[in-house]
Amino acid sequence: MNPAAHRHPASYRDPAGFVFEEDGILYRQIHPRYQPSYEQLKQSGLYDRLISEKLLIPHEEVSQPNTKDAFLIIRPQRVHPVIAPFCWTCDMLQDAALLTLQIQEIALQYGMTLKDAHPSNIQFIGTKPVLIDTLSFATWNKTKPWIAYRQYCESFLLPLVIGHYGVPDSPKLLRAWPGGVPLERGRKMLPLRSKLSLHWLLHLHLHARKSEQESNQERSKADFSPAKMNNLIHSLKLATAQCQSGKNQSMWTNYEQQVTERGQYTSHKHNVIQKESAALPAIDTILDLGSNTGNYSDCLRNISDKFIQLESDPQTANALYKKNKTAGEQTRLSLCLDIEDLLPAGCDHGLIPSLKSDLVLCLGLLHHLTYRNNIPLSDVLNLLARLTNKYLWIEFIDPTDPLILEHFNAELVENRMIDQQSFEEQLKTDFTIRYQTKLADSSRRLYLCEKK
Amino acid sequence: MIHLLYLDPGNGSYLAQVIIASILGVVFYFRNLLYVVRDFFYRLLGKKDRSADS
Repeated sequence: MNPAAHRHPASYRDPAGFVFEEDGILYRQIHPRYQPSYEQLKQSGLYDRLISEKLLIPHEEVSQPNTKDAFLIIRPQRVHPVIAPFCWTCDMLQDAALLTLQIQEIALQYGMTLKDAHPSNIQFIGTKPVLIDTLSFATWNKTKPWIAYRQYCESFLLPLVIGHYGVPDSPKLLRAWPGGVPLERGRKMLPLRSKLSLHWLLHLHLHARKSEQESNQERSKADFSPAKMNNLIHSLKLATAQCQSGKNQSMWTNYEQQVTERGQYTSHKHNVIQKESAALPAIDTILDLGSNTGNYSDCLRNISDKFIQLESDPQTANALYKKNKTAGEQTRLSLCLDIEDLLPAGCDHGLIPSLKSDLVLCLGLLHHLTYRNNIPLSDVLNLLARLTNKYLWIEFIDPTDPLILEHFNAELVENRMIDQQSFEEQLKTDFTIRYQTKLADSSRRLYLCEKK
Repeated sequence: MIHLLYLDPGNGSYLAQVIIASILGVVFYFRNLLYVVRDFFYRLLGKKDRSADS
């Protein structure tokens, strides 16, 4: 085993250890200087408590190298896919924030504290957030304030409050500021009325003003107490819970109702996908692009229960997350992401390997990409080939389709005009067409393809 | 244990936290006092105790 040579590129900050991958298995090396904290985590009962409540991913102790660099190698349970927090919806960010505070509250009871509070320490298993960083715990010095307080406010609370005031895709701010939105800048995005909330006033506005004035000398005098810590965490919980970023709706939230007005089109599409997919060999994960209300994921439940649902509209993605959460779905991950972000002109952030699935659904989406976003068909198909391991369902929408004429710029449609023949020719570059049919009550066609 | 903390303690807004936590101490003290008084009157008037809701 050679941990240093296989270090994960995203694991570089923590002096307590790092993650590495060898032979397809993920490990974490713990450095000798973290030994006391690790032993406290295990011996205090905190680890067992967090595992029993499913708040932290479990791990196995693999070996004790006892070298100067490594005290222990552990193998954490693998979470797949690992997704950057900027792809979350507001409700996901809120649930991850509340989980962080819950863990901090529990850790304090065992004499430990979270030494960092960043959304990337949390991942979602279906709709359940879980802490993936086993080395986030440090011994709690009861006379010192919470070291991760500012990080929590900048990377969780501030984006959530911005989201509360009409920015439903505020987690995307974490793409601009991966370490968290700087308080001084972020609070200027908030309306004056945000000061009417006591907890937002304290943790965002007053916090930003006071930390600007803070000097090193004053910092050293900063004495704290367990009671103050408990008050702080309780107040942060109230501040976080009162964010209601997911309450708004967009035109796509009611899409399901709109499509019922299209005759047999929807039911025919459902039946075809359900019947033909059932004949496919074993499918592990299904990636639903432009998933909207997750309707087509529902009809494929019989062939797989693992779904990644991508939706670019933040309100609709949030509604889908809420729907999955209410249904207790443990294997459906809904994300807010624009397909364009996965193209070279976007900033895919290595997302494609995480999203890669056995079956990809691209239904009712192609015309948006080609006619609205002006992406060449070959680029779209190339992306789809990179996203699928095996199969693809794709819907072709003829340029004469009434919805295209109604919703898209005629000039753009004419520039990017794709007829059925050229569509099929380009499709055959990376795929073999296994099945195709014309959908009832429309000029649209559905294709089931296999990757070459 | 500071050497194990990879965030700069200065970035933890130490002084701001002390001030904010002190304000919260006063706020929560009076809030709890209010609940005690309210619950006393609820019990006196035979109404349901609502302190658990908050």
